[in-house]
Amino acid sequence: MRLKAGVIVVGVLIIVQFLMFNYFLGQDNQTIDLALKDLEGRRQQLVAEKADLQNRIKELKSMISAIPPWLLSGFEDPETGFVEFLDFLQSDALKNVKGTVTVKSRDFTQEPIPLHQTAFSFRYQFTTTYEAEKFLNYLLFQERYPLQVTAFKAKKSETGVVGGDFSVDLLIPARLQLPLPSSSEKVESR
Amino acid sequence: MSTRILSVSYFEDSYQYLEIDKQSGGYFPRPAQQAGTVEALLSACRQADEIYINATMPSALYEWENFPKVAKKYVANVVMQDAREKVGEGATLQVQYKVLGEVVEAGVAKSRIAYIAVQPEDLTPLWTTFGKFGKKLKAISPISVALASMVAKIDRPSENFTIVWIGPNSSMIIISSPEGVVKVARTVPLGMPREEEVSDPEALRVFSEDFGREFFMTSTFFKQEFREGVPNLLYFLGHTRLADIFGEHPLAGAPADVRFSLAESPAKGLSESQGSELAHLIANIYLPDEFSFLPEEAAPARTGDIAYRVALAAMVLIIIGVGFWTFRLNGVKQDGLAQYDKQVAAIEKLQKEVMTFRDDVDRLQPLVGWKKFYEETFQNRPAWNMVFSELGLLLPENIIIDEFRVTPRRGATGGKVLSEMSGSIKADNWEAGLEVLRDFGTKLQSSPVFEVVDVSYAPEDVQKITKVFNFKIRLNLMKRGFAHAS
Repeated sequence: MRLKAGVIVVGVLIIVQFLMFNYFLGQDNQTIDLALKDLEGRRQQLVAEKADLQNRIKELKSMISAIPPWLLSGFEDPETGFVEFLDFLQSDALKNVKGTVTVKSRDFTQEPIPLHQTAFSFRYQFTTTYEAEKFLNYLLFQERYPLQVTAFKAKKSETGVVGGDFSVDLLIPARLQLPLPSSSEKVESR
Repeated sequence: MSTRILSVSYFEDSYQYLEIDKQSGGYFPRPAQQAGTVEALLSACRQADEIYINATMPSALYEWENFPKVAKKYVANVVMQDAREKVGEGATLQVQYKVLGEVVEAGVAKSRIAYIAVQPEDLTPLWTTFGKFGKKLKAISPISVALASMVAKIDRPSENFTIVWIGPNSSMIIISSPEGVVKVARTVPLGMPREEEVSDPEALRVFSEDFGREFFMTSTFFKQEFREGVPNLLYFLGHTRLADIFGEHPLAGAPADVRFSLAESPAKGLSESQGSELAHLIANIYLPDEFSFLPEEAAPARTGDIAYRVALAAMVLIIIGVGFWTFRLNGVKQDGLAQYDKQVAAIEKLQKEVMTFRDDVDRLQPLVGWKKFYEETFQNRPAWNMVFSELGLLLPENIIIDEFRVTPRRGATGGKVLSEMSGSIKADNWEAGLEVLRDFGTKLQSSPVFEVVDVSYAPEDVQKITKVFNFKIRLNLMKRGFAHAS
């Protein structure tokens, strides 16, 4: 009788232990499920971010490809550039239109890139458009000095001579950062 | 692991008991209690695993009868009816029976059944005393059944045999079938001679003669009842001196084959004399399944085994089921962990890639400013070098331009620079002047250098003979090489 009772007790204990173990296993599985759901959410977020970044890199590369290499190849030191520009102005093109130039202000700006900004004001005269356009072409359509026209005016006088005024900003980049080799390309190639 | 068996014998209104250990090697009796009290007996009952009881049961009626064949479920009723007829109608009886086989009586097949009917007064004291031990109680049988069964199982006689068991104050004469089924049992009011009588030959002779008469009466009753000869085998059990007594004073009418012990010891570790003296207690371990008068309360003890087995089977099934469930859950957990590791590895890889892409974006991002710088300084330059010649080309003779003014704005202008020109038109009338201005505006609009935004036109002095009309045109200066949609 004692043996039977013992067997029953041992059996019940085994069942209870199994049930407890199963309960804890069930809890573990629930925790793992939740963790997997979290991980899946995180993974999807990363996949979306990766796709966004890839598109952004593509856009940036496309944008960069539109910048001519000579612009990125480098600029002189800002002071040197400024002096060189002054030398550039000592030309016949300016003299032919009886031009005068005034340096107005010098400034430093961060937008769109760090720039040394020098404002120049020009005054010139012409009777034929050829003279004026030769001067404008010489000054504004060179590929060395970044200029931005800030004002432009031409007025005809009673004598038929046209007086022109215009202002430009000489914008010399403070520094040039060339992009390093793309590590994403390495990742993609892998 | 041993089972502790308590064997109890009730006769002459007192209990004797013997504790026996049932082990794999056999039955091992413990030292017998010489003067056991009821309290000691009950204490032994509490400690025992199984209890077997026999008693003289003077009211017991032993019958072998042929009954008409009936369905099994009606046999008990038929036997009970027969017992009542023999004991007396209205008697409250407890009946146990055993179907021995079939016999043909007058050409009709009948069931040969042996039964024992006991009146309640023989059972009530036992049930009252031992009923509370319910499930431990395994059997309550007449002492005759126990002794006959023991002899049959140990000696395996080939024919009917007689047992004479002599107690202190009374004795039993039992005639049994070779299978141990009692045919006749009588309680005889003759006990073992006292110590002083044993040494008195005359007393022993008288004892033997008295017993011989009882034996003769029993044998005669057996012969009449069963129409068989007196058994040729006689066992004397109950005391070690019986051999001496009946050796010197043979029992009258005794058969030739008289034995005072069994062929082998009924339990381990017993001497021949102990085997004889404790025969009534040892016999309990040889009790047959039949002829047990257990009280109703003890009945579940037998069904208890079934219940235990069912419970055990159910428990095993549950353990298997739960074990399988555990196995599955554990499998799910392992799969989950493997998937978790896989996901973590994938996410780490993704994180690395994303970090690399972020670095690239950070590295390339400053070039956006360079692009803007390029647009503002070089790319989107208006055609300054064509403004005057283009105007000269498009300008009609009767229009004079007084002023051309440009106010460039920084920021996103799409390469267009808003400008304004003002001047005057000489014309005969307002409409003619307007027509000239329209013509000029059309030409401006078709030029790649200009894009007309709006025009204002007003007379300067209508009193003059030569009419002069002032105009003002707001227009966009297009970037070089850019053709607008005209």
